[in-house]
Amino acid sequence: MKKILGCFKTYLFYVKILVVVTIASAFIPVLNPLIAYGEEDHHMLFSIFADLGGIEKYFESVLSSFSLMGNVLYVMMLLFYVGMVCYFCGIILLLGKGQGGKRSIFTGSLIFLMVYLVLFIVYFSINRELYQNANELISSAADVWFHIPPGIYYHFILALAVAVLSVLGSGIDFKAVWYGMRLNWIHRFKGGVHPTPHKNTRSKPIETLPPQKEMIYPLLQHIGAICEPCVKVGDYVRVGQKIADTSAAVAAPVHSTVSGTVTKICDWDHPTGNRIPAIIVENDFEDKRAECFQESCPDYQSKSPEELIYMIREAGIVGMGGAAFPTHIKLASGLGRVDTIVINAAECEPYLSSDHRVILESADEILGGLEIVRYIMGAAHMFIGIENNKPDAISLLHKKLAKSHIKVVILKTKYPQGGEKQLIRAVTGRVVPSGKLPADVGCLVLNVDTVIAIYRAIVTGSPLMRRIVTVAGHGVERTGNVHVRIGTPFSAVLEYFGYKPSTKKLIMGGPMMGSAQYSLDAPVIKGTSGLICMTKEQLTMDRDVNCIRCGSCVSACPMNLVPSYIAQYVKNEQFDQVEKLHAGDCIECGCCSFTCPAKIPLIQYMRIGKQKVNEMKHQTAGGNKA
Amino acid sequence: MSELIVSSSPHSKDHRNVSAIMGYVLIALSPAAVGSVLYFKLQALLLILISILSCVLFEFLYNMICKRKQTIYDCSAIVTGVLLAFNLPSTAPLWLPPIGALFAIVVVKMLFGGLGRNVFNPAIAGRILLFISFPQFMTGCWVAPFDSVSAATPLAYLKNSSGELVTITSKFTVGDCLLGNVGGCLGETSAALLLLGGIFLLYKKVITWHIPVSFIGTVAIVTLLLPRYNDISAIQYMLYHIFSGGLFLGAFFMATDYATSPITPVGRIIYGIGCGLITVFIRYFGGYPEGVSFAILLMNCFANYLDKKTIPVQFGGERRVIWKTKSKD
Repeated sequence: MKKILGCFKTYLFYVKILVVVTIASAFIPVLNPLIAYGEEDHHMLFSIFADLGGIEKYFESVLSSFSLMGNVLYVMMLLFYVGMVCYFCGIILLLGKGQGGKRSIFTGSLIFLMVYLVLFIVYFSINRELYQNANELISSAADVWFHIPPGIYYHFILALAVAVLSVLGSGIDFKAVWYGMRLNWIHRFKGGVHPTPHKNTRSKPIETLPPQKEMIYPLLQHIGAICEPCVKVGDYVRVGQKIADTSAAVAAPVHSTVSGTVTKICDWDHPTGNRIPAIIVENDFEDKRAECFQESCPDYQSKSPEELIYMIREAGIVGMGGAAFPTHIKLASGLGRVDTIVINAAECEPYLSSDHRVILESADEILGGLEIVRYIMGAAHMFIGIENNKPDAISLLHKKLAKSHIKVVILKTKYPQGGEKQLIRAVTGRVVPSGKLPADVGCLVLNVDTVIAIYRAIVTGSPLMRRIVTVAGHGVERTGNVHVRIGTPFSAVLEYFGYKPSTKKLIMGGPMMGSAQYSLDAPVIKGTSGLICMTKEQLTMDRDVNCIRCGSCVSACPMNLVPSYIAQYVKNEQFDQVEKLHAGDCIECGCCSFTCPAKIPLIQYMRIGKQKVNEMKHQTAGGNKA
Repeated sequence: MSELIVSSSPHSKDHRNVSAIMGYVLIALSPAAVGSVLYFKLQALLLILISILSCVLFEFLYNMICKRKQTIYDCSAIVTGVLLAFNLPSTAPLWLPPIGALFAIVVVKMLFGGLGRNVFNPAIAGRILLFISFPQFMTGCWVAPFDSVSAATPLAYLKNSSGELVTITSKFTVGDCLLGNVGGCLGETSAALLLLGGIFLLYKKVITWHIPVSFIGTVAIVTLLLPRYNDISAIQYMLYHIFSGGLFLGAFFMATDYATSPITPVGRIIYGIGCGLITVFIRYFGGYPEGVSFAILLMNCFANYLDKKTIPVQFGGERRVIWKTKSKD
């Protein structure tokens, strides 16, 4: 580390020296042909030959666009001064330890490179023309090169050195950049925003929170139907025992994560904002394990994909990215249709770092889980899509996957890179048609943490019982990532990190798509990827003003919709127009609200519009049936 | 324990609001403003200040009289004021900008519902009102920078050079037009300073490239193709057209005005092309030497319509069929 820092310092040191040399020598006429002859004649370049007699006339006949050339040089002159300003600002910022100095110097060096390259080309082409016309001035082929003023070479080399050194000094991982560029040049999604990442917790190892006395298991921890409890008050439950299940198709069972007695089954505060039935278990701290742990099968290839999918269902696995869609349904619906599996490690939400830490700390389990998923789906291609702001995770995955068929795809850091359709577009180049599912284009997207859960369910027989939660924000004394048993109340997690009463808003999930909490009694559920405590200073609570028609929502929308018009039509209750503008395709990522300078809550209007459009579709579908 | 706020996502928002955007526009206009003060001295400074003050004052008074929420803090009136001043010649009397400001702010902007609801660009409407009502002050008395001798604008030379002996090349070089060493309105003389501001706006993502590129590009292509009366080359003719007059001011600062331009990318390109075509046709065929402001005002009418006709295809949606092929049955 010290060595790298030392290197970094020396690079910057040379950059500073070279910049000072450039500034000092820029106005010495011998060293800079641009300013050398500028004062008497604005065709400064050509007047270097003026004393040779009549040669300017000759140029005019050689180069028909003579005066255009003069104008090009004018532009170069202006650019030269812009570059000087960049250098000046950069060196002042660097010396004063200000921000942006390196970038300013880099920009300046690029400008200088361009200016002197153009000058070089102009001189070179003139000299070549002269040589071809057998002018006595350029007698040999070597003179074509030698009759270019040395100042051009001098400044070109200086600028090149500054550019190269400042790039080397910036500590960029070129391999990662090159890899990411190769993919991003071809495949990327349109739109998106760049929220401040705030990912300070990514360097903090995962801690473990001890289980609490009272654990709460809501019967709805996924998208779909509410489960029915299969235990009674007073029953003894063990770790990993299934305590609620349902026969409904879209659902995942709920398991106990501690051993103890069921004390209550009642309505309880739920992170989605409702009160939903929950099973409350009093922990006896003995961690007696249920029999499901014996059902592990490390040789999963002896079982059929359907059996494995059933095991995944019984383990209660849902998508761990936050939406919590039951994984077994996703797998079952894709059977036989999916040829590409995309693992979502983008983690594009600000603040959250739980997936990042999981990759760093349990990479082997991910690889094991990937092999299982590959066996189940029989897919040919596997990609791990990861944003380029996680260089340590990328290099670890590169190392682990060096000889593997699984490809790591480095993605641009941009929200919503982790959105399903956007991720598929960026990684595979396929576009999921409007109203269709990823399986319709042969893709399956799984979160990294889901893959780990699958691995544990199949290989160790453990159901989904733990959740990595990122705790961040100004409302806690220290931030970090913590391993929490599902069912732990928020208050216990937050107290572990020093909850401050100055917290004004508690968000479950990331700040872009997470839901604000009204109660600290609600428990950690399967989709709780983070708990963000925001104080008053972190909140932006501006009143909305007129739409100024800036169009930033249009350029930010990753689904290519027109949020400002949709919002206007929703306000006017013209829902037929809303449908024409495809509001039903909205993925509710919140980019439009984030970027709106008039602070209009566009996403809320979009949600209303989407809901109304879907209702209208249902009505017409029902009408057709009748 | 304190009360927790519950609201809908997203919980963090971009810090850029309307006044920050207007602030960026003002920063982008400042090089040209400094340039105009350098070229035209005190008169330019006074005109700009009076124009800004009167715009802000009229908006303040309108809101006060109509008992509306005060909107002067969004700084849009300042931007209108600067743009209006930029459209005045340096010889304009000091009572001229308040008249333009009254029309621009009260009639064109506030009566339509304030910022964002106006159909026409206030600064351009104000300029055109002055242009039509007070032609003696608005045209025909240009002075060259620095030496204050009367001089015609480059565009006037381009227009008249068919019959007269004086050709434009003997008066100004293209470099003069670029740097602003020509006669003209306060803000539009120096294309380079305006370009600097425009690049700043593009870099800060306040404006997108669509309108400036299509506007200037159209002017460039059409002027290359037009027949010329004098001896200058096609490229020179094009460069004079691009760098002189209000083209850069219009393309970067006035045509890109949010409220009066389309919001879809395709709509913006069509809008820019329309502005460019009308500009060149007025300059070439029309009675006035300059047509940028009329072009933008005319295209303002189409902004909303262009939006509706160029709604982008949603991600994963089917491509819109522009030319219907005959169906199979």
